Amino acid sequence: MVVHRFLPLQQTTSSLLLLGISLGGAHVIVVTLSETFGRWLPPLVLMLLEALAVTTSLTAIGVLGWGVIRESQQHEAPDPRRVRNWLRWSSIGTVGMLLLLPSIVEHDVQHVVYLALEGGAILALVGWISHGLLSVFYHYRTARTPFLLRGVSFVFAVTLLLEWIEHLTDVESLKAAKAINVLVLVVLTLLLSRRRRWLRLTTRAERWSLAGWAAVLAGVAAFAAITLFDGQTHQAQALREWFVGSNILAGSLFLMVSTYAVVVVATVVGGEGAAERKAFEFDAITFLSRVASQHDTPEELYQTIITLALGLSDATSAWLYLNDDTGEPRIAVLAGIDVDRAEALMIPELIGRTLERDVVVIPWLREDERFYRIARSVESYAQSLVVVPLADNDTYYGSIVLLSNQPFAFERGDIQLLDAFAPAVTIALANNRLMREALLRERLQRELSMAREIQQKLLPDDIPPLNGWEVVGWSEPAYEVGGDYFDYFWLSGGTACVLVADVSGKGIRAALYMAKLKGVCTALAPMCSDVHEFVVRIHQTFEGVLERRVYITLAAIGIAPDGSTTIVRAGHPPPFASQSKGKVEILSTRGIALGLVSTERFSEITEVTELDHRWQQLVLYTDGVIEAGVTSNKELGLDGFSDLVSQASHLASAAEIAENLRTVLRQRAGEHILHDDMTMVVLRCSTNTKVTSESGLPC
Amino acid sequence: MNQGFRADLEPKGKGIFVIRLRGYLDAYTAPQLDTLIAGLLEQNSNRIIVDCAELDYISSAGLGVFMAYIEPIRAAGGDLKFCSLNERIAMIMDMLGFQHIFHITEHFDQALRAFEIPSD
Repeated sequence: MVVHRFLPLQQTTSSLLLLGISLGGAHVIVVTLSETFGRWLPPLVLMLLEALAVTTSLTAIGVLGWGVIRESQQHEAPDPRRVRNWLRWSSIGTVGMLLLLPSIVEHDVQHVVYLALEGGAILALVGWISHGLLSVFYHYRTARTPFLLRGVSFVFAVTLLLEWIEHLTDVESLKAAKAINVLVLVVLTLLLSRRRRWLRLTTRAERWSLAGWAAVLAGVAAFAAITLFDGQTHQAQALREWFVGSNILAGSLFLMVSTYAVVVVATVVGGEGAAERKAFEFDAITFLSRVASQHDTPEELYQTIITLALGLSDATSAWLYLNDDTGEPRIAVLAGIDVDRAEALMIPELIGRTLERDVVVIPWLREDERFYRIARSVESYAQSLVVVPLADNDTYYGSIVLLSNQPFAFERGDIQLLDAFAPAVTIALANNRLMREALLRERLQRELSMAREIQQKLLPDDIPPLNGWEVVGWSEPAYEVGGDYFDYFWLSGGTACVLVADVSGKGIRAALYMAKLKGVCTALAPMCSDVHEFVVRIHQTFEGVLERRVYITLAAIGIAPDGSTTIVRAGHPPPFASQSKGKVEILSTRGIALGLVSTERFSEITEVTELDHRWQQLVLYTDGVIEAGVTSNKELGLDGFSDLVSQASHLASAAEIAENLRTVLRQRAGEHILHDDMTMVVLRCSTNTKVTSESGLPC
Repeated sequence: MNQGFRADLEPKGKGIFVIRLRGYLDAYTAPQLDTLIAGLLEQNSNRIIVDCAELDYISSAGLGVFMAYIEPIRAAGGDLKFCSLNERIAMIMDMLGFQHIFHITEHFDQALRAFEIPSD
């Protein structure tokens, strides 16, 4: 909290107080000296000593007064407990002053010295009590407090002046003026204690304890005032020993204390609203926990939070500084203020502290160095401000900003309440966010499952025998959807084409290209008579359409009506070929992936190769198969996979081989998440005896 | 992906820059390399040698970075050459047909010389 500086004091408070006490001691010593040795001293020296006594007393009181004012300004904000202590000890001290002092024997030899000591003690008590009163006035201040305090100083000065005039001229007719002064002091005290809301924010026990001691003090302070105003009492004489009029000033102060104590009693006794307020707090928290468990939209929840925050404090407007899914904290859900005005207040210094999750309290913008520049321009709607963060250990959800068009609108009790309210709000926000995220996840999951279903339908269920070859394929995406693809097509002239392709990348992006590829192939197949032409025309369709970073690899096997086969490999992992029980050959024919070069270059680089008629088994696959386990350095590799193919080649049918390899690969993957999509197509010549092409019969 | 990735840049004089790759270049680490090359292009440094001696793995996303920049680099009169590929990466590049679009050399010196004595 920023403490307003009423006086530009540089000296430290403790050195001021020490100096005042030393001067007071010096005064007592000087008085003692002149009293003890007065009769033997020459008149000039005696006069000098008396002048010194007056000087030390006045300086001591001045310096001490200065120290008290300064200490009161810098004093920690007096919470209700401190105020109660002050009321209690002031009462006890005043009672002591009234009862103990008159019992001291009069007309003693060193009577004047005793008086000086007693006067000093009363002054110390008065200093201590005024320090408490000033602290309360400073800290529960309003915009008018500095002006009113100046008024008090002025009345004290006038009172002192009147006393001196009376003393020096023996004029007795100033009583009316002095009475007016006393009246003005009472009025000023009432105005200074206008801020009393803090009293209602304390607990019931505290309020009544405060009121009890205030009642005691009101009585004893009034009595003390009367005692001191009457110049004939012992206490008045003891004070007058220090300087003329000091008893009146001290009496005035006791009058102010008494007035303030009466105000405290009246406020507590006549205090309404406390019980209603508690009920509202309770309602707010239960309401909020109910809200948190409902399926509200975030906007509804934000609105509820702001409404409750406004209800819990004396704020005139409020908004949320929200850190939602958009990533950039922003002003949202305003009440009683528009965005432009709110933005004018969100100065960088405040945003900085807000983002650091601090509770920020600005009692009066005009007093605050950060807001000083804009304070006047926003005064009509913003004079005090509170920011309460809404955050748990991990997440910062935002902050509630509360604003009042009055200065000092937020008491300590308000802040405590808002601070207590913040965790409940944070939980409500967290619940709401979790619920929304869960719903969103569920929806995305549903969409993805649907996409997966659709993608699976893009792949052929059963492939019929193709010119004497049995063809079986399967595909397993690493995520819900992927970029792997296999299919078969009939080209013009009766040639069948079996194709395996892989779009680079993973997930939805690859899946969409894969779907496009299916459409392109289906459209182009009837227009092409051989596999090379087919693949080149697919490339042509994709040229300039694929993103720069995306490419497609594919391997296509052409099966002529006579069962003879050709291969085109465009950047794809090389297929395997084998006889029914024999060594596996790797078909690394020349080619380049789709999307890397122009169609003309592609056509030049990518060759078509006729396959040996003795090969009765062909295995096409995508790189996910050979790269399985790459993250744990247990990659299968081309050789490892060729061994597996070789082991499976004794099996009777393509279906068995495909299923066998799928089982083995799944076992290898174990519980690991697939790194990449895996796809495989196995082709097997249906008859064991290869029929020559001349016979015109398939296989 | 716990395998670390690093891309270190080293100027070789005559406007030639070497990018030394280390570890796993995949979808998670490719943006690092992307930023590095984009930065080079911004300051018109377009003679780049990619040293793959310590590169363990490259995914399609990693290759995608080179594909994205090769055209702008060549259009600016520069080139992007690869050297010291390990067996696995050489196989992947070869399989995809990358040797048809990129200049790939066995040793670093060959790539450097290729820049210094431009062939036709």
